[in-house]
Amino acid sequence: MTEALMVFVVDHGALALFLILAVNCVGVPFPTSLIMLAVGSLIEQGEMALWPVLAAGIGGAVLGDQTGYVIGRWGGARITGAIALRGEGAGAIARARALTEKWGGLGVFFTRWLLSPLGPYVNLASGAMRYPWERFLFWDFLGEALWVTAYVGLGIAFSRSVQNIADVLGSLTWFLVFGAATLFLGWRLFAHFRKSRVAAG
Amino acid sequence: MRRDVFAMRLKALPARQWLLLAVFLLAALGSVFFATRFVVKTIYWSAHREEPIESWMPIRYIAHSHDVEAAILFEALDLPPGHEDRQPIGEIAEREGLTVTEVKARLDAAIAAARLEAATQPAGPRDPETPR
Repeated sequence: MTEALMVFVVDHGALALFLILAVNCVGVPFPTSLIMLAVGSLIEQGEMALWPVLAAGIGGAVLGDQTGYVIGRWGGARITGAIALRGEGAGAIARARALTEKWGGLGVFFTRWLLSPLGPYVNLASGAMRYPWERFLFWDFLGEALWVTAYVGLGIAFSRSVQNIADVLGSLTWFLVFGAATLFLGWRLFAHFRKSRVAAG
Repeated sequence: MRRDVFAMRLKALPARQWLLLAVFLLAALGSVFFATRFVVKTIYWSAHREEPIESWMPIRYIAHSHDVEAAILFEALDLPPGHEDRQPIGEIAEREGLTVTEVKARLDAAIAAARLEAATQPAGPRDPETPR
């Protein structure tokens, strides 16, 4: 997989990066971190130019995210509509919307670069919850710009250790994703226990 | 009445709590695993600046990473000198009818030979024509 994508990148340059990141951000799990770091190394070696890479990378990522958002908005309307018709569904949807309204921006921003594996799901959820599009676009652009610049920049800075740094950053990213999930579930568990104790006492 | 509701709650709660607890434990396990992996990889990186050759790497990248001339690596694979090949070695292996393992072994050997030469040259016999 990585090999075929590298062939694509060395043959087609920035355009290839644009397409890879666009498809990745819709939800296809490409090894994009390694690709961006390798592209940074190619820039450092004088085989690719920095600005077209950054423009194409950010553009591709944002396009992919917007596609996810649109899919969520169209597909999500049916699902949320169906849930809202059932008993307490309407209340749950309203609560989820309020939560998205309040925290959506930060969620979108951090899942672009720090918790990037969650990005595609947040795109779908943002669309389905009708998070305002202008705000989605704003945070999306900011986050993706940081993501692409950081990874390509690290590739330039550590142009001799692309595989090593990809391993280190990959582990760190997944640790943060699992850590965030652990904290969230722990908090839910704690709330549950407290509630059941209150109910029992 | 209240007693019935309470009994129902007790019955309903454990199943959900068990599920929540199981997912929580899985997430915690994942966190520990990746935290460990992060530490191991960081230590490895600081100890091994040079990385093992992987099939996605183009020859020029390997030369850059190992600080050797790309020409000697092309030569090791019997590719024409000065060959402008930016393909990953996995592709080269396929095209040349070699296994990736064989390509890696040849490149490793060429890198080792270049290192040895670089290390022995300054200490080796001086060129008689070089003025002292």
